[in-house]
Amino acid sequence: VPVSEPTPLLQGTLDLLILKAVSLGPLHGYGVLLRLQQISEGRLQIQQGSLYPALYRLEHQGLIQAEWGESDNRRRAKFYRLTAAGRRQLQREVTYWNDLSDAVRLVLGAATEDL
Amino acid sequence: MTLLARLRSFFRALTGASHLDAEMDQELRFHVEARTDDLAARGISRDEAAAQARREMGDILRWKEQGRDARGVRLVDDVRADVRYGLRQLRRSPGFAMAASASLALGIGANVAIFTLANTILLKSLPVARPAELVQVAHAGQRGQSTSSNYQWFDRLRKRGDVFSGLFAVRMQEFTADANDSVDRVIGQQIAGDYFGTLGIRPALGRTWAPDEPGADRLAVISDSYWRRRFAADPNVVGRAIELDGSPFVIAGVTPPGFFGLQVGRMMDVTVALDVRDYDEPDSWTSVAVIGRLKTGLEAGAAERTLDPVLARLAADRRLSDRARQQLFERVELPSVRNGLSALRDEFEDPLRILFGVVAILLALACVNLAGLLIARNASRERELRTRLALGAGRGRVARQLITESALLALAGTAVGLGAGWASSRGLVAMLPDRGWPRTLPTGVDGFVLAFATAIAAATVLLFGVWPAYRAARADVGLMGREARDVRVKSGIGRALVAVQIALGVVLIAGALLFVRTLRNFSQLDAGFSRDGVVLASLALGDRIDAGERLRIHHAVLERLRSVPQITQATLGSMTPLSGNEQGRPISVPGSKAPLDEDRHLPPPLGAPGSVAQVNAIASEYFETFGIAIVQGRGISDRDIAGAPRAAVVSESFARRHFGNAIAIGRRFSILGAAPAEYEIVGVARDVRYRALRQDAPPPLVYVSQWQVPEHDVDVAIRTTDDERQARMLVQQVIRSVAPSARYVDVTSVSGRIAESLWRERLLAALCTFFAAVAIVLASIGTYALLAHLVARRRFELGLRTALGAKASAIVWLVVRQGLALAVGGGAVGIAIARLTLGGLEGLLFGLAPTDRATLLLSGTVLVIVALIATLVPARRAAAIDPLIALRSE
Repeated sequence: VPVSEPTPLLQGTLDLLILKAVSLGPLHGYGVLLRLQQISEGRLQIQQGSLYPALYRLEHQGLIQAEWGESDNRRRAKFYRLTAAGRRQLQREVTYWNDLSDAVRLVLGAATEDL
Repeated sequence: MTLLARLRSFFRALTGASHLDAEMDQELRFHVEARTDDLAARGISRDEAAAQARREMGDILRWKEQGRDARGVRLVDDVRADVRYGLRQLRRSPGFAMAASASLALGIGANVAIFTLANTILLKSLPVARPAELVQVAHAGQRGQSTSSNYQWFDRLRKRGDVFSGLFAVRMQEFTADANDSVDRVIGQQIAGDYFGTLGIRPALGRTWAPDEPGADRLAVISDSYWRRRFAADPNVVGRAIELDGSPFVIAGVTPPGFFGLQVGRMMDVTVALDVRDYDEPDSWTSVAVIGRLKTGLEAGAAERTLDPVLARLAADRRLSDRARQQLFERVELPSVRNGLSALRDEFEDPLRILFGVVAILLALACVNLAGLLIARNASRERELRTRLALGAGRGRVARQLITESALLALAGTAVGLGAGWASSRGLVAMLPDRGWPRTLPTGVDGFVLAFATAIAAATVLLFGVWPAYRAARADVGLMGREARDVRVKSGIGRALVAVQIALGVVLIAGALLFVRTLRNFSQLDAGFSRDGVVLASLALGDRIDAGERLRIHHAVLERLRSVPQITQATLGSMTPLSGNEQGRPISVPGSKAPLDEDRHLPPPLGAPGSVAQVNAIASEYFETFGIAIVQGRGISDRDIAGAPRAAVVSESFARRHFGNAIAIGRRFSILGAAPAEYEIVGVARDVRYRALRQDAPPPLVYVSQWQVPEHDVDVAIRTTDDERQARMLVQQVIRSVAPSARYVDVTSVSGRIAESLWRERLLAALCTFFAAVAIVLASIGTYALLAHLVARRRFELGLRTALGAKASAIVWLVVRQGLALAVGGGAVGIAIARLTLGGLEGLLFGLAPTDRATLLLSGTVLVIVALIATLVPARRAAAIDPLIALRSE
């Protein structure tokens, strides 16, 4: 089965995706990657290293919180969790993203007879 | 996204930088390991899995950098790196770093020192309530301003409730104080009116007194400093006795610490009431200061106009002559005393103004020097900077690095300058005249001085840091390796900076030379008396001795002194050279050719007819002791005793004024006053500059015999072959043994008085010479740095010339010519600036004009020579260039 090439991310969407991923439960950095790939069925192209500056940025903004814990294979790992502020931000971003994509889809789906 | 969270993460990043770094490492490592596990689980070999995981991860350093960026600590990191790099750069060129920071330190240090002193003397407000409302009552006319007063004037002012909310009169006075079983000399003041209330002084201990309180004339208030010094801070000091000039007083209170009285630089130790009988001299004005607090909101100008009619009425009442009124009693002036009355300030104001100018020039010179050094240095680093730019460093980033380096230098220079300036301001206080009073000048560095130094440093960093940085950032990458082409353009600024340094140096040297030559002129001046070998003692016998006893003591002291072998002459006089004592008396000279009223000196008895002369009561051997030449006739001798015909010796200017070219000997004149008497002139003596060495037209003076016209206070003087120090001790011993009742014997010498009278000139000469030396050093460093830089850049060209057969002397001349052109150009500009600016020194110079041609030329020449010497090293280096090496290195 020919697998389509993964799609590169739009600028600025990584933060939103991370927020969504950790909203489903605390995750370490690698876990975020795995979850995003799992949900998107491998269709998103994510540079692994770029996750970390994004995570720090979100932590710096107070949207997520970090805590050291133990991973499944008993290694020390840093787990990220959504904060209340992060939850509100996520809702705003999701609404915005839905509105935007609806509008873009409408525009792109337009045909001459609709006008 | 709360602000708090951001701050927390920022500070965590800042403070725990290494900790955070380790955390990031650990987290990224975990990621790679977990990924490796997953890949390995798919059946790839462990090594390959690890390699792939690392590949997928990408540039770990970049993620970490971005991670730090995300926390906002990138800038801090950069600055930290800049500082570290800057320090390393400076350490690599210690000569440059030392020269640059030393130049700034000298500039700032000089300013801080002078500013600390000025701040203390000129700017500090009185430590009293609302000092801005305090004014001194003065009267003025064509002759200028006078702050003298008399009781009637004071009394009328006191009744003006519409102008002043408080008013008092104060007279400064030194006392011989006998307290707590020891005697010493103290600075004191006598007050009338509401002194304590007007100033808002509440006693720290005991009480003060109300104006016109009965019995207050026996009370004394002492200063905190005197209380600690003399009474060891005894809490029971109130009620104890103190004797001032022989009169008993009772201590009523102690003023709070920090209150020094009204005079900056003098600590008022004792305050007593002013006896109105002393003050109430209806027809003369005495040196009693009247100070008032203006009613809140009242402008000094408005108050002056309100008081003008009061003065006019007083003048009319006292039948003041029109002429006297025009001269000094035309209007009231109310100068502010917010900074206190300070004789020291008045004397010091001009020198301080000059020193301000000098240190400002020095600071400008230091900044220009630094700018020159930095430009030369940055230019020689151009290759490095261009390489960095070519490798992708941002221009802003490079400029920031350069600014950081400048700031480091500025910081070092400021720190050293502040310390040195503070230390030397204490030294400067020691150079102020020692008049026996305690040094109370507070010379700590206060906030004001600190702010001043910081402002200088900040301005300097902007000036010398940003400009070279801007130039460097403009450097074009494409020009790399082709610097030689634009040497001419680039060195234009460097040359201008060196020329400015030389010009400023010329101004400073010219100033220093003027003051040094002024001192020399003073030392060569014939003041009419001889300077060496004369020791003086002022004899204060106190008030409890009657006139006959006083004269007996004077006799006995002289006799005893004359019996000492080392003493060749001994005499006494009421007015000795530079003593500050002057006694003007109204006289009448029959047949005088002098126009009446012309040489009237204040304070005269206003309205009295006739002329005025200074009167000096002396003993025999006076003229021999002081080396004053007798032009005609004889001096006062042992013949001129009580009962003998009254004899007088007059000064040349007296004779000239009253008798013209006619012979004065045998003529008669009268000294008027309470007991008028007639004198026959027996001799004419040369004019003497009694008041000051600067006094160029000594007023008419007559010498009379102390035994015929006794004066109360006299100075004893001896001429000795001994060394002055020994003689001073000898005189002190003799006086103590003959006159044990002489409470205070102030022994000095004529040369000591001269030295003290010239303290301002000496201070200026010393400081200006020091600053000029600094300027020479700075200018020569600047010249050297520029030429060394130019030679380094022309290496290839100079090498080529040598290779083509140029002689070493030709190469040397090539370099020296550049230095010479700069020096001559800068020197000429400097002379022009000096001609324009040094006019302000006029009042403090002596015997030469501020634009003295020889001085200006000499200072220009000095700097040209200095600049030439500074070019020799680079020139020799240029001649020693090995053409092979130079040509190959390009």
